[in-house]
Amino acid sequence: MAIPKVAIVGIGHSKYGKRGKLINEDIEGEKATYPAVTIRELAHESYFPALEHAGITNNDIKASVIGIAAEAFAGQGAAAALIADEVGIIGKPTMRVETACATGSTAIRTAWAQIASGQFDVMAAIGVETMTWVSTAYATELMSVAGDHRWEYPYGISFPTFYSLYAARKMAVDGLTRDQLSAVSVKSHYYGYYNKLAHLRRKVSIEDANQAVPIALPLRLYDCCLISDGAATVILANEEKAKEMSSDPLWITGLGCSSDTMRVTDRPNLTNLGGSVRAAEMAYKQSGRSPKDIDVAYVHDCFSVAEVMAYEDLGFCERGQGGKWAEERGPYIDGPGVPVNVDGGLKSKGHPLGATGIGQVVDAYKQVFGTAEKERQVPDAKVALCHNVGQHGQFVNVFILEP
Amino acid sequence: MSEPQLGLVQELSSDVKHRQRMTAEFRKFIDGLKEGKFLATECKSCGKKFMPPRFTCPCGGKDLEWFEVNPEGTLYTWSIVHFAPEGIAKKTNVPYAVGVIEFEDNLLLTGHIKGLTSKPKVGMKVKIEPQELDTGDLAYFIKPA
Repeated sequence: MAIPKVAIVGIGHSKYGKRGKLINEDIEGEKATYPAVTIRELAHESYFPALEHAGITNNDIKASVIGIAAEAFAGQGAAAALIADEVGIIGKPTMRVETACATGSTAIRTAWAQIASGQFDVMAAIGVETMTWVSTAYATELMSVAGDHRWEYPYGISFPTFYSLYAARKMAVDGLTRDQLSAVSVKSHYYGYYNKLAHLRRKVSIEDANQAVPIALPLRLYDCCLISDGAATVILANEEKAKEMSSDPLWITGLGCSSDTMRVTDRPNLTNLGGSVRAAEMAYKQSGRSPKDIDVAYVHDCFSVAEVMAYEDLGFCERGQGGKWAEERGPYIDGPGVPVNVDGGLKSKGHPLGATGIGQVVDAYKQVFGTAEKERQVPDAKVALCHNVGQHGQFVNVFILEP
Repeated sequence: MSEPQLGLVQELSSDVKHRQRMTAEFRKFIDGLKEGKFLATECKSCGKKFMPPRFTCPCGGKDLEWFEVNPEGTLYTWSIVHFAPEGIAKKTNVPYAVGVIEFEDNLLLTGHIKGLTSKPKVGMKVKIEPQELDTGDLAYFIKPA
């Protein structure tokens, strides 16, 4: 069943990274400088380009949804009010949404629903997070308290630990190997290297990843995504407005979502994420698409094992074969399967929680309209899929996007 | 950084107590621990069993019955944690091992693993033991059987 027509008509994406300090980047002689910013300027950096891209002004924006996963990171309560004010969307409805690491895509889903219901015609979904202001130990704490506070947190289950419980189980049940996990990270860093907006533009080898410091074994440093600052914005419009204002609207043809049990021990298995399977099924059904139709995919690779599970849960390879598929270059542009995370993913591009799900859609737009850096541009990409997971599957959004 | 040393997990803390100071129903689980018992619940409407115990069932059932779980099982999965959340790092040295024990009826419970003499292995025989800590708090640990 087709869903109401809503399109992405404007995109903006800040540089991801440790944005509290000046960044001087020099990649193969190509130099770039990014000033030190706060959560305010980060919002500007993604919002105004999105507005300009859509060819409109703040007068055209009827309401906004702001994605911020944890206000404690920025030390700003009622942060949606601050961000909406900063970018000048004043006197119009705004709200903050939160679904942990899926906050960004939930901001899009919420704006989509307000447009699809006919309440507003043009809206902004802005995701922003500053995470490097606090110590790594405190950042780990802020993410760990998202575990069940009675049955999980007291046992020191950090966020990487949840996924390491999946990794150890998947190794035992599916034969997932250390090299296969590393193959995922090597691929992410390969594409992230060519993405000018990525946080960590550094190529890594299988050996680097295999021997990196342990974080929560079996997971090591290069199995884990970055802690980043960043912002991303999309402007959404209903069918009439999208056709009027944009020559290149990107339509949301599938919008699947699901959830899962709070406790990891209440799941039927620890080798896949049921929420991802259910959300993908919904999105495929709405769009009439199947995994073989997808030209480029963005999957939630908060950890290497999460990306392996996503390959399987989204139907890019057989169940239990995700590790093997990574090793066989399935997710590469020149590989045999669907190119995955050609922006570098959460691993290399970075994971500013509230921005991440919007950042995926921004890059999908670039890929579909052929404006990504040439080294990471998928030729003739038309149908894109974005998969954004909160916690370890408690919140999942899957979007199918088409021109 | 060196490879993890095993079996060095230190005891948890008042954080456990803080989160266990809850409801009359949860107190029943704690009282069970004091007697060395691991109590789970079973829904009288649909028959589903819950460890950790739930006090309402997703089927809508509100009549759940306590039963004792055999504390022996197998290791379902594991992790060795090298970077602890700040609140835990204050109380526990890294690295520490955590795992999930699988009891009969496919019931699973998360906990610290103590007393490891080699790398944890999925499927190894383990048991769960309650323990009173120096702080007077009750905790439980997964140990090789």
